[in-house]
Amino acid sequence: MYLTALLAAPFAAALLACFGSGRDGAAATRLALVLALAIAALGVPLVTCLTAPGAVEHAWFSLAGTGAVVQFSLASDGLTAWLIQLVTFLVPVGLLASRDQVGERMREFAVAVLVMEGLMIGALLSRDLVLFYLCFEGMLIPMVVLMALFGGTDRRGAALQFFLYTMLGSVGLLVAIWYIAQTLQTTSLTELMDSRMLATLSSGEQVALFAAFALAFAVKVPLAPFHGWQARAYAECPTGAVVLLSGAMAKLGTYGLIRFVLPLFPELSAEYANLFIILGLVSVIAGALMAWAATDVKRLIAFSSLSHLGLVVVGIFTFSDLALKGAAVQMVAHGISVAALFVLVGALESRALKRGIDDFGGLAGRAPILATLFIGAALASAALPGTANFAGEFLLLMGVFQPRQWWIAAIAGLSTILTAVYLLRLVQRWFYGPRRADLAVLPDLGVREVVTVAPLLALSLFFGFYPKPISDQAGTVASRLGAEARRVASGAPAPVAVVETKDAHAAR
Amino acid sequence: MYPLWLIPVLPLVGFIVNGLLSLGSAGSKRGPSRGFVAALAVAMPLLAFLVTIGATAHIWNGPTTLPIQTYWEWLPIGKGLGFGLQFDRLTALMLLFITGIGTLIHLYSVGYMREDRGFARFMAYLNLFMASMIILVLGDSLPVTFLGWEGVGLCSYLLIGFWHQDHANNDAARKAFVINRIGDLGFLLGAFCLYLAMGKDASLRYVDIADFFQGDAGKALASTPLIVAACALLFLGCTGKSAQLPLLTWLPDAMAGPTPVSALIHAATMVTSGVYLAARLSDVFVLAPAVMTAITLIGCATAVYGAIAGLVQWDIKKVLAYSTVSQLGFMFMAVGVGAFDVALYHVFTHAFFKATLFLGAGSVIHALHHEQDLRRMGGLTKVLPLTYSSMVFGWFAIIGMPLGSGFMSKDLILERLWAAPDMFGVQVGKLVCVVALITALLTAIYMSRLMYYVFWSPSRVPAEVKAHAHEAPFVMSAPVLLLSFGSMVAGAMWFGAVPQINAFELWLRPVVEHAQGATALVASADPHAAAAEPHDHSALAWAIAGCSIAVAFFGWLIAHLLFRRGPKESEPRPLSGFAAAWTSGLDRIYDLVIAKPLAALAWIVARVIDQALLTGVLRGIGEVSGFLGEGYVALQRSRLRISVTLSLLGAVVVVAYLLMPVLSKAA
Repeated sequence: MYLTALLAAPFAAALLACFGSGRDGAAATRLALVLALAIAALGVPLVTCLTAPGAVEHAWFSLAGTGAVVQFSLASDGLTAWLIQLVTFLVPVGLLASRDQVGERMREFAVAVLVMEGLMIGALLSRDLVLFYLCFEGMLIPMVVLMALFGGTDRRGAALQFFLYTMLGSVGLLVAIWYIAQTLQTTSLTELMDSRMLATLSSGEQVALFAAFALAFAVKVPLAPFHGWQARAYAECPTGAVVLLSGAMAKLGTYGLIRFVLPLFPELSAEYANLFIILGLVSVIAGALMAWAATDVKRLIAFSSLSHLGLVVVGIFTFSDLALKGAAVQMVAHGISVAALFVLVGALESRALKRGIDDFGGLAGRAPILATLFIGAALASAALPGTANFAGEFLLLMGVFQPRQWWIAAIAGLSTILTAVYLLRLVQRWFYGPRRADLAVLPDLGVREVVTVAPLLALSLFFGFYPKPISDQAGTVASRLGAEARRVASGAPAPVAVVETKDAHAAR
Repeated sequence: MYPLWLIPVLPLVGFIVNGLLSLGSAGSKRGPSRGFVAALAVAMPLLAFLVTIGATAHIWNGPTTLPIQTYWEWLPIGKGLGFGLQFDRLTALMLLFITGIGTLIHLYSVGYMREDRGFARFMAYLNLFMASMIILVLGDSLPVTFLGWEGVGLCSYLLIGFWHQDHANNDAARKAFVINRIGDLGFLLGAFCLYLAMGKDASLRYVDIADFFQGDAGKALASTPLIVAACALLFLGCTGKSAQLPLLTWLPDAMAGPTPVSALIHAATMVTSGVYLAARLSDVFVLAPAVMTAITLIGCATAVYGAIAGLVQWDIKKVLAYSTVSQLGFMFMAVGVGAFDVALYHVFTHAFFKATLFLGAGSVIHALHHEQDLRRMGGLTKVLPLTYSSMVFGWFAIIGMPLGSGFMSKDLILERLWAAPDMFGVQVGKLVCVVALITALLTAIYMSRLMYYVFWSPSRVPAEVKAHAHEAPFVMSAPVLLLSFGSMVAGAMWFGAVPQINAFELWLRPVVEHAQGATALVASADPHAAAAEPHDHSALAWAIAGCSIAVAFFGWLIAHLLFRRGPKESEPRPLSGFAAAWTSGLDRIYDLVIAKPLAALAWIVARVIDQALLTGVLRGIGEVSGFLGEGYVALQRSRLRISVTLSLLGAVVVVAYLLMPVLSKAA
């Protein structure tokens, strides 16, 4: 019941927001903000309650042409719970950060954001493939609307490209789910996981299904070479949307890898692990290098995201306990730090209407609060110890580091150096150096902007010193979901229990 | 439970309050009340010093360490890694001089930076540095130390680039951070190697590491690839922070920061953290003799490099910076032969005399209105009597004049080098000892050169500057005098030639005796060393002391002959010829071999591969889908949504077609 309410809340809020003022941007912002904060509050018990909320499951509709009955199946565990916190927390941040850019059309903006929030929560809660797919793909619609209506000068092209690219990436997922429904007569994730029914399919079928799932999530993360949409979309997005896109939606890609790919295809995950590790490493290094060469700062942050999430993918496909815990922590940590960076870039862009790396200089003297918060966010992004990103990266690198595969951690570790190179370059160009006459009128951050960013940095510090809630709750779940793949990869014999369920299923 | 947490938290509070004051007063013309800022910024390290004294009193007699205090669980490593603080004799020693000298330098900074608009920000950064440095030596595990380790790197970055209007300073700051990050990656990977090596009882806490590697299971791992890798990588971390070859080029550039920063961070405290780490992990390092030999050789090479570079500089701070590099090399020579206590003793004495010299140089610079060039100094003895007398003591100590603290510690290093066992059949220790003696001679020459050019040669100070030159205010001269006093008496703590006076050695014995015992065992296994050592020990000690004194006087004599008349050229101009090549040669090599190719690679990846390949592919996909969607171009102009839907349909068809074989096989 609680989970249904949590899923319904953003849609109800979106409906309510429709009745807000279409002319008074401030009023619409206030209304949307109150609603978003209420939803965030509603989600908090997910991580604070000791007992998991009761799962919801009832038959929904039968999938035409197959024997499968789609379940309306919702459940929450530590991983889902923490990513929902990330989503519900970033929505108010995104709303507040967009006030200046969106202006009086805040009502439409808020409705789209709230619908997107609902769909993201749905994707995280659902334990049925069809329900998941509906939410996962549905997210794109409000996102494209936000991008195309409120974005920068190249918004139409970027929105179209983003839509096509991600849609094309996950259309295979649709076919795969349909195929599973037809052959195995079920779309329930729990059932598929427990019974290991996918293992009964031929290896060719399994590979095709695995590829379809993995591709959909790899595009979403994104993982090189599927990152073609990313920089352009991030650059053209309005601030509020890019906060959600980079901070939360990208995490659904890594979430999907952990939630679906590892437990449904443990053997294939182990078999193709090196492919994903190499693609992850390419993302890590190429992303960092491209961020170094970037001149548009939103693109710079996009490439840095590519780099940091590439490390998460590397960690996921080493299957080690520590790396999966680190991946869980890093997903939340990166969501926080990248959101802070984008909000601050957005604040500067709304003042000066530009965001190139050479467009500013000497801002530390003129806007010290902006400078301080930006440097703080950059340091968090560079995983300085004491920030949540450090906890994540430390666990990831440590989990990835194995004697026989030491080179993986060594290459991935280079990102810590490269991150410092490109972020400090940006900090120096924008904030240090002589004051520039052309920037004489550039007000420092206002109260609203400080209130938007400061909590993000405070959270990053908090989880930097106390990542235990995330690593215990989300990390343990992630580690459990990767346990089977870990076992296969290490070559250990299958535990007896699994064999029994397989037999039981065959008998049934 | 003794409140150890107060030691880092006190300066942290200073940082937060002064930092907020600085931010809050950004709009005002003059900034927050200087009196309040100064009082808070100096009081916090002072209180931390007092709390440290209290803690030291607890371990003065009786147990050699306070119980480890774990405050909360930090990282889910092993059985759960706590955020803990550990106070043993090594930590006590480090903390006493970090907070003690730190407080004096804070006091000095109040005078030095008083007129600067960013005074509150400066003091806040200094306090943050103190907190980080304290965490570094107080942490009970490698990750907690790493928190301080990167924290001091951050503060170093912020303080080198403190005057950030000038991009030269910012470049130096960025260089320091990036080079330190290279070392930091070594630290992390080294820690991971250690963790793996320890097997099922793996932990990153120092007590567990010491227990394991002192035990048989740990000793069995000696010279295995994992241990060698661990030590080599951890030492890479040390070379970054402690400016050893090959990662030393950031330290001379770091002199771009205000002088108190150079004294506190880039001479007395932060740069010695590599030696601290080596001593903390001494039980591991002794298990990799190959790495230990490499450490000695790298330390030796660094010492020579720094001494020669110090000889040709004209910037007073650069002379001292290269001198620091050189002295750090001496410390690592000692580390490499397993003389961890001696290395730490040199850390300790160096902290005093180098802080004295830097702060003295700061007073000179202050008096001459930010003139740093030796060619425009001279004859300042009468103008700056207090600064002069302080610096004489510092000079006395560093060149190794008898009974100065530098003599005591350097002499011990030479002695241990000479007595070191053969490594891989070569008498590395004796060779290095000879080179170290030559380096000591160079040290005496370049430091005397500095003294001659600043004080003992005819004045070359422009008249209008000289008219305004004045002795530093009391808040600046008092700390320097106290430190110069310290650089004399610090030598009294361990007089190597007289066996009874070795309080310092006894104090550190519980921490390093096991590791040093291990190297001694190796020594006694060698029949020659075992036979040779006992009977001529004290004769050897006196012989080395004699050489070292002779070298100091000889170096002074050479400097007297060469430099007493002042430099030939009096107009500042950039370094040229050998001096320039020696000083910036490494930079040029790194630039050519690493920085430039990497930047080119970044450009190629971003502009060529990514743009051409991926965007090209993407456009291809878009056009195919558009073609399938019919009328793509027309529709894109009219309605995005229809266009998107049609393109989507096209995409579905493509994928369905691609999956057809699989589907037909299943059906």
